[in-house]
Amino acid sequence: MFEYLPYIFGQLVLPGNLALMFIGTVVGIIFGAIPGLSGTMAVMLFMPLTYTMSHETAIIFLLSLWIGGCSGAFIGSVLLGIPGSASAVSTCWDGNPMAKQGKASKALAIGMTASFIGTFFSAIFGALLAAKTADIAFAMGPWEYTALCLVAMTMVLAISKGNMFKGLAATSIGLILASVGYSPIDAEPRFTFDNMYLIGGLGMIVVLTGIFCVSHILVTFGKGFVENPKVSKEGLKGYGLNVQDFKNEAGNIVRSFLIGLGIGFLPGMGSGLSNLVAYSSAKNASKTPELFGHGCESGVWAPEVANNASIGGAMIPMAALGIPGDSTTALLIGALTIHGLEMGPMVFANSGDVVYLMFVTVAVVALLVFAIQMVCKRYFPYILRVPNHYMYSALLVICLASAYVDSGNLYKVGMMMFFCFVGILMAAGGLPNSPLILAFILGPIMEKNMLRAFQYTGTWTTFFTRPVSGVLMVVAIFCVLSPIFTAVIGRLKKKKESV
Amino acid sequence: MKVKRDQLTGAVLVIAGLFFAYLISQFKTPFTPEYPGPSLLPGIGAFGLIVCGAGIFVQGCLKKDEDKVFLTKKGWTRVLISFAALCLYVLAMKYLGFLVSTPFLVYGVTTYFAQDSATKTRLWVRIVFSIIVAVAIWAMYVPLFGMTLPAGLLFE
Repeated sequence: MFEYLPYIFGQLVLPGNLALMFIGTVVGIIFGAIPGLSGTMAVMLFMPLTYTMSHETAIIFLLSLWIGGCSGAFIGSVLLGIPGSASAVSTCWDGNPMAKQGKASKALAIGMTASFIGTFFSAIFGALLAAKTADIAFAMGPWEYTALCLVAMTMVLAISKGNMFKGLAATSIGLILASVGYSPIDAEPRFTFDNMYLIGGLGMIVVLTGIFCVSHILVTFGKGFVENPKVSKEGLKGYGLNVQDFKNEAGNIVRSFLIGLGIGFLPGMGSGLSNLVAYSSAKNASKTPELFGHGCESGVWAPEVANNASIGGAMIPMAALGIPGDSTTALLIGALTIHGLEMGPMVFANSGDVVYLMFVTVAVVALLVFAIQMVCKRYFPYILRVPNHYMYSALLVICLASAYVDSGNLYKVGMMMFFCFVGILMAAGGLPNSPLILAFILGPIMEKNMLRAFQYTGTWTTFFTRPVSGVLMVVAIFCVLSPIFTAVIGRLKKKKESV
Repeated sequence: MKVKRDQLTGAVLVIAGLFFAYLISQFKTPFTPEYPGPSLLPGIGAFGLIVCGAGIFVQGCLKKDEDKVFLTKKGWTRVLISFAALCLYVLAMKYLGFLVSTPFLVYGVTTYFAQDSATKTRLWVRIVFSIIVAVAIWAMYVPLFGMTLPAGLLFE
């Protein structure tokens, strides 16, 4: 790992890379802070810009957008009580009450510091653990990879609880969309309708930008833009934390960090879940749980450390296995593939320098985010004052330009409009987004491995007879059936209580 | 009887699943238990759509609560008008190119989106904003990152 340091340092000090890191971080923070936008959306929108960059520059830019987005999400939660993204949902519960009690500065300082701790140390842990995970991954065959892909797709469903059918339907749509074009191994044209634009498959940007960005903007407008309340910048000066604050929260920080790292590592999970789990753990472990929800500082520390610790956690399976830890790492895997980097155990042998560049970039961007947030803390309220009609109209143009740049023809931009229509229908039907993203990105990986497995053994039973694959398949099945189990157990409990 | 949204969603998913299942049945490479071939992945997807669609439909039938309104009639009109404007923009880009058609779209959309806004926007601000956005995005993609945006058939 240390032999790559001169290369990594050389990349990070290049003026172009430094400039893009700064721009990516600022744009990411803005996307993270504004409710309705997110770091994932920023990565999606600006990914085509990286096509002409070297892969190192692309990695630095995309990671800056992601880290900035994840670290900026608490701003909306604290100042408005509206989470910037799903990763900061539970930050609202205590962050906003703190702001209302006149402690906005302290809540923001906690958010900034916790984000830094989570991201920085998870990057270090990630760098140390990824190579070890890759060593284990060498022992894995196509059966295990297939099962891992299934686990990644189904774990997202397990947390969608009551919407299991809808989650699975979104996964199914993702699998169908991933099938378009020539099939692997057999080269059979699927759903191409003799159209030359469909032979190579549907582009990731075309599908995902259409379904998630354009349709999201139109539906948000259809529902009526909600103007953010004006927040004063008074009292937002200074850092706001002292050594005693850290001492008081040391246990909470360590626990939340481990929760975030662990949940981030699980395929398919991410910051959207880790912040909720860390919050409830902090509440359960607290001597004063009654203070939670009323402006308790621990209730801000826990989710913010955990959601950012998920970043390093999610990067481990991404780098070592080629399996995304969450929807943003799924996008990053897609982007890196375009740049000729296939993630997985072999990447350490073929492009170890690039893998460690990723982890070091995350750590450096964490520092940069913290520095920017420290300097700009008192200007946070201005980010939230951007008028919706200006912001969304500019974003729409970026969406359409991205689709054109991605494919080089207007046909695909038209196709993106079709997927925008699909996205509107999905939103109307209440189908969730994340399962579709994961299925669309993981579908081809799963299919390739599944077909290879069938070529080797000619039977599906091997998926269950190989120990690791068998366990993972059982986990996947359990995830699909978990809402049924939960419902049955709930009914039995109710029955017992009534007796 | 009023059709519930879940019933409609479920029915659409089942129909889509059946449609894809039909297309899959037309694949040349046969599906066998020893080697499922190219039908495997879309087959799982189509099967999932049919089963989940049926499940959502049944859930919709069993649900006693009234549906929450997703979009009002006014909301749907807004979505459709914006959608139509974007489709028109794609067509305009083909003939007029990015730099000419974008300011018109941005101006139109900004004006349309601003209808609910509490802060009034001035005409000249919207015009200047539209031109700046078009030029800034063009500059970001074309000279800065060396990419191409539609030049327009009329100007080629």
